[in-house]
This record gives sequence, C-alpha cells and structure tokens, in this order.
Amino acid sequence: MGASSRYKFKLTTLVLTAFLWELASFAAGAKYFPHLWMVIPDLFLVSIKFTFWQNLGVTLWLSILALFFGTICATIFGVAIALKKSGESATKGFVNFLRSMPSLVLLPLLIASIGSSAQTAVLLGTFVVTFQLIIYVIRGVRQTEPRLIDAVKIISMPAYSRILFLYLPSTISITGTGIRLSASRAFGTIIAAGILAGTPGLGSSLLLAESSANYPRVFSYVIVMGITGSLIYNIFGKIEKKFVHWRVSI
Amino acid sequence: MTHRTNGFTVLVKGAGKTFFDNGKDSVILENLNFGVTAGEILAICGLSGVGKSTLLRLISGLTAATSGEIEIDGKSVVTPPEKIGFVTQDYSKSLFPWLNVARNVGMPFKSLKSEPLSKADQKVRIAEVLTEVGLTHAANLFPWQLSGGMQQRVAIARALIARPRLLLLDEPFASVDAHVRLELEDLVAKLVEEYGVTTILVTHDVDEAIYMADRVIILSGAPARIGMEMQVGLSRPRNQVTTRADTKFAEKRNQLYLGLRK
Amino acid sequence: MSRFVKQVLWRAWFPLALVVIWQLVLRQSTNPFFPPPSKILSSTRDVINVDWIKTSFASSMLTLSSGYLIGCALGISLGAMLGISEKLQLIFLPIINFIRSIPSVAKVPVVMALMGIGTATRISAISIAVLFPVLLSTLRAVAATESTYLDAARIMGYGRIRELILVRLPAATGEILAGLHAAVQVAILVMVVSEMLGSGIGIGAFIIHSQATFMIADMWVGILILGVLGITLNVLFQMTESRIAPWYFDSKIQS
Repeated sequence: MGASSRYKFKLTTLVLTAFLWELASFAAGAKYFPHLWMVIPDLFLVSIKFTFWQNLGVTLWLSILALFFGTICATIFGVAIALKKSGESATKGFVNFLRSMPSLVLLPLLIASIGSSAQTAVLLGTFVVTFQLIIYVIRGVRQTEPRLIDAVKIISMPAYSRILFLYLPSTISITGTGIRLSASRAFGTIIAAGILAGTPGLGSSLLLAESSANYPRVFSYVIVMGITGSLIYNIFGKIEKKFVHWRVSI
Repeated sequence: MTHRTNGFTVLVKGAGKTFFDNGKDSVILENLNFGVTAGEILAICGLSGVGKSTLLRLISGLTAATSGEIEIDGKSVVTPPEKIGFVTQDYSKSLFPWLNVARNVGMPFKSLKSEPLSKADQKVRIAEVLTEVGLTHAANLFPWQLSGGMQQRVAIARALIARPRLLLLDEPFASVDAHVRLELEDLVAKLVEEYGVTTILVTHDVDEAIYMADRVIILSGAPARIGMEMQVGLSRPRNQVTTRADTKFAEKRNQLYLGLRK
Repeated sequence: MSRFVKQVLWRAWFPLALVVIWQLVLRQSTNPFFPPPSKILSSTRDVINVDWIKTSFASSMLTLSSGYLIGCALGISLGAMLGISEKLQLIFLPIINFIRSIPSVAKVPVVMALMGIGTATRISAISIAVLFPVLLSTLRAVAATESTYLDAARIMGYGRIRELILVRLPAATGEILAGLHAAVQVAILVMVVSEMLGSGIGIGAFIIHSQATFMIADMWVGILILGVLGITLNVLFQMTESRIAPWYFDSKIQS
C-alpha cells in the first residue's frame, strides 16, 4: 500500500475521532463531556506544570517497583511450585482463587491497616503482578526441554545452578508475554489505587479533578493515561518479541 | 482414455508467477504452456520446491498469475471457477475440525453457486459419496478422531460430492503411510473413472505418477519451466500388482526418473 | 474413602493448612485487621442472613451479567466485522487500542461523570470494559484464520459473508472463548470499582461500608464472596471450554 493511501487512512482516523468525540459531547452535554477544543488546551496547560510530570514520574516509578517485586515473588514461588511434584496440584486451587479475585478489593483492607501511602500502592501492585506472572513462570519451568534436564542431571549440576542456568532461561520465552501483561496491570493498579484511595500519582490527580468537577482536566488526565498505557504496551511488546526468540529447544 | 466425458479442458497459456517480497522479485514459474484434454489424467512431476503447488494454485484460481493466462472450459480463470474439486496434502488443515465427517463432506452445498439440491437430496448424496470412499460408518465422527488415510478420504469425498468437472490433487498421498497410499491411489483411480472428470495430480513420487496418469509432464528449473513430457500408455484398469510388474511400467518409470534427474 | 473425596483433600490441603495456621496464630490476637477465621465464619453467618446483603449480591450479579453479556455481544459482532475488513481495521484500530490502554478503573469516573450514579452507569462501565478486549481477540482470531480453511472456502465458492459465518467464526471459536474467559476478570473488577465509587448498592459498596464502620470481619466476608464468585466463574468457563471447542482446548495447559 502506497504511502499516500496510508496518509489517507490516518487522516480518516483523526477525522473520525474528532467526529465521535463531538458526538459524545453533544449527547452527554458539554459540561460533562467537554468539547475537544476545551480539552486540548487544557492538556497543554497540564503538560507545562512541573507537578504533573512529578506525578507521572511517581506513577511510573511505583509501577516499576511493583513490577520488579512482583517478578521476584512470581519467580521464586513459581519455580518452587513447578519443581515440587506435589507443589502444583496442592497450590493450584489456592493460586487460582487469588487470581480470580479482583485484587483491588484488598485495597480497603490495606488502607485500613497501613494507610494510603505509596507503599500501599506498591504492595497491591506487587500482589497483582505476582499472581499474573506466576502462571507463566510455572508453565515455563514445566515445559523445559526434558532432554536438557537429563543432560544436566547426568553431569550432576547442583540444584541452584540448574535453576539459574536451565530452568530460568527456559521460562524467558514464555515469560516475555507475562511481563508485558504484568507491566500494563501494574500501571493500572497504581492508578487504580490512586483513584480509589488517593495514593500518590496520576490516579489521585484524576480523583481531584473529578471531585472539583473540572471535566476538561479529567479528560486530559485520561488522555495522558491512554498515551502512557500505549507506550508501556509498545515497549514491553518489543521486549516480548525479543524474548520469544530465545526459545530453548533442541 | 476419452471415455471420461465429464471433464473440463484446461489451457495454460504463457503463465508465470512472480512473488514480490520487499524489493526482491522471485520468479517461480515462467512462460508455461500446456493443455489438458477433457477427461485426461495429467501428472505434474518435479523436485520439491520447484513450484508444482504454485502451478496448481494458479490453475485453480486460488492464486493469480502475474503473467499469461489460464483457461478452464474456455473461460479465463480469475477466481476459483465452479465445478472444481481440490485435495491438498495436509488434510488436517483443510477439513473443518468443528464439523463431523458428514457435515464436512456436505460443505460444498452451502455455496450459493452450486445447483440447489433439496435438503433431502443433499443427505442422500452425502451418504452416497461416503459409501464411495468407504466411510459410511464414520459419518458422525470428527476429523481428529480419524486416521490420516481416513481423513484424506473425507477430503476426497468433499472434493467430489458436487460432481466437479476438474479435480486437482496436490501431493495428496504424501502424508499418509505407505500401504495406505496404495489404497488411496486405487480409490482415486476408480472414482475418477466413475466420475469421468479431468484430473491434474501433482506429485514428486515417480511410481505414483506413472501408475495414476495418462500423461506426465515435468516441471523443472528455477524459474520453473516445462521439461519433459511423456505419454504413459499403460492399459486400464490398472492394478497394484500386475501393472507395477509390467516391464513397460518399469521402462516408463525409469524414463521419468531420469528426466527428473537432469 | 471415595476417589472424589481424596481428590478434593489432595487439592485442598494447602489452603486448609493456611487457614488452620492463621486460626491458631491469631486466635488470641487483638489485631483488628486480620481477625481469626472463626470470627470471619461467624460474621459470615450473620452477614448472609441480612436481607441487605442478599439484595446487594443480587444487584451485583444483575449488573455483572448484563454488562458482561452486552459487552461480549458488541465485542464479538464488532470484532468480526472489523476482522474481515483491512480498511476498517486501519481506520479504527488506533482508536480502539488507545481506549484499551486506558486503565479500566480510570474509565469508571468518566462514565460516572456522563451518566451519573445508577445501575445503568455500572452496567455501561462493565460493558465498555468487556467490549474492548473481546473485540480485539475476536478481531485477531477472525483476521488470522488459517489460510488453508480459507482456500477450501474459496474453492467451494463461498462469498465474504458466508466465509465469515461458516468458516472464520467457527474456526475462531477457541480464541474467542479464551477472550471471553479473560474478560470475566475485568468485568468483576469494574463491577466492584463502580460499586465502590458510586451507589451504595452491591458487594463493592458493602465492602466500603464495612471498612468505614470498622466491621473488618464483614469486610473479609465481602472479599471472600468475590473470590468465590471469581473462581466459580473461572471453573465454569474451564468446564465448558473443552466441551465447546475440544480441538482448541484439549491439551492447552489450564491454569
């Protein structure tokens, strides 16, 4: 497809977006769904404020922390469960239960017990990431090429080396997908904690804008979240693609 | 040979196929000219990867030729014409896994183009064709419950149910066990006689080509062109034991084999 | 002991052990936030008998199922339509992907701003949250139908619509079901969040109310109810998945 027709499609998308936005604005009332020409200037106003970038940075930082701790927990528990023959069936129901529950529901409990601080958000995020990622780790370890397992057993490689050099690398091709999903969920959780409980970050900014009925501001933040979410998806998508090529197979 | 009266004629005129891939053009087929008379069984032989499947896709209309023209029954081929049956090598990917055997075989009737048969007539016809391929007992089973040979029989049944006038087979027996292959060869030979349909069989198996066909052409080179062409001329009906023991069979077969090696 | 009982015990020993340890450790504890299981159990008995929790639960289930079904119906139909048209995909995908990237929880205040606080709002929020992932997985599945099936369809002379209904959609059943399965999680999440932020009705509201009135054991009951709901739906899905599309789900590692 030529470059000019690609432009035509992009243009159509933009025009369609503007049209749909104005339609929604018309249908819901411009007070609550501000016109595009009210939101875009507000977006600029927001982006020149230092506090905005601070908030964004905090959100991202907390998400990274949650992703980091969650990955560690998922790896430790996942490898442990996968390697013990009885481990998987015993914990399967338990892990499933915790995965099926929307983790955000623990937020009121956490707030009541430890307050609504950045730590609370990271704790919740870690929880979410762990249970999202653990399935992938278990799957990855379980599908290590059996012939490689035999090979390292024959040369009597000690357990920790086996884990480090055989099992973990085998999970990488699968875990790539898990990490991409977890990154998005970590971001979503940190923001959710902000909206529901006022923990630091963009979520609480959104909450503030909403309670002061500053709807252009609300939409500006939503747009920012969408852009950030897309970036996270793209970056981790690229990482995932690289990992998939590391498939360990004979 | 021409007692098979129910077949299309096929004319390939200067057909070629080039694939465009990120700036690099690969010419797979170039300037192919040949014809298939009505009711003839033609085998197209060649080494793996030379482009036999591509040629069959051009003839069937699944892929468009980048040069030249293909005519079936005098009409130019742009999209797959009516009254054509196609059996591919990989039966597991061409039969629909969500349907049982009977429904799979009846799928050609769902098209608007086919002559509308009443539901009752369709059922009769499905049962008929399943009997012809020896799968009456399997009508309610699903493809993944069947062996490879049986799945291929389903594919053959599906290809023949709407009484096509051109039957295309792309290495149909390459993925089945050796002894099943011989059974299927005879099954196809028998059905082709009964249906009187023009048949083009693509195969890399030299013995199979001689056993099945009236005429064989070789596709060779890169870009591929028609190499040798030969009439088989063995008497019909053919038989796995007597035909293959015939000295003339060995002669023709060796001729073909040497033609491929060139 | 029957095989079934043995199976259940074999799978349940770990969580049961956790519960027992928790009970023993915290029996005497005065920590208000982690009451011993015995207290949670007695609270459960009290809570379940109150009419209010019954109506709350019923209300939650109503909004959940309505929102989920609407979202799935829209998601599958729009996804199928977009799946067969590359042009429509080029035009709409950027918009769809962008909205999808917005965290679901952030969409709830927006919907509430537009529609106020009420059942319709909650149902709409759930529908929107379910719509996007279902649409995208349907689109992907329909667009990526095996070329061999499409070849067979063309040989048989199917037009575009017939091909969609008779070949693409059935072939995509497995992946679409997987998308529907994943969407349940999002639906429950948005249901709870919209109840927490809004109305005063529903399990989410119950949990917030319990937190505000320091009835922590009640809060735990609410949390457990949600967990049971989640896992029940999960198991239901797993059971039906392999019946509907055995060729897709048979040896997939169930988790």
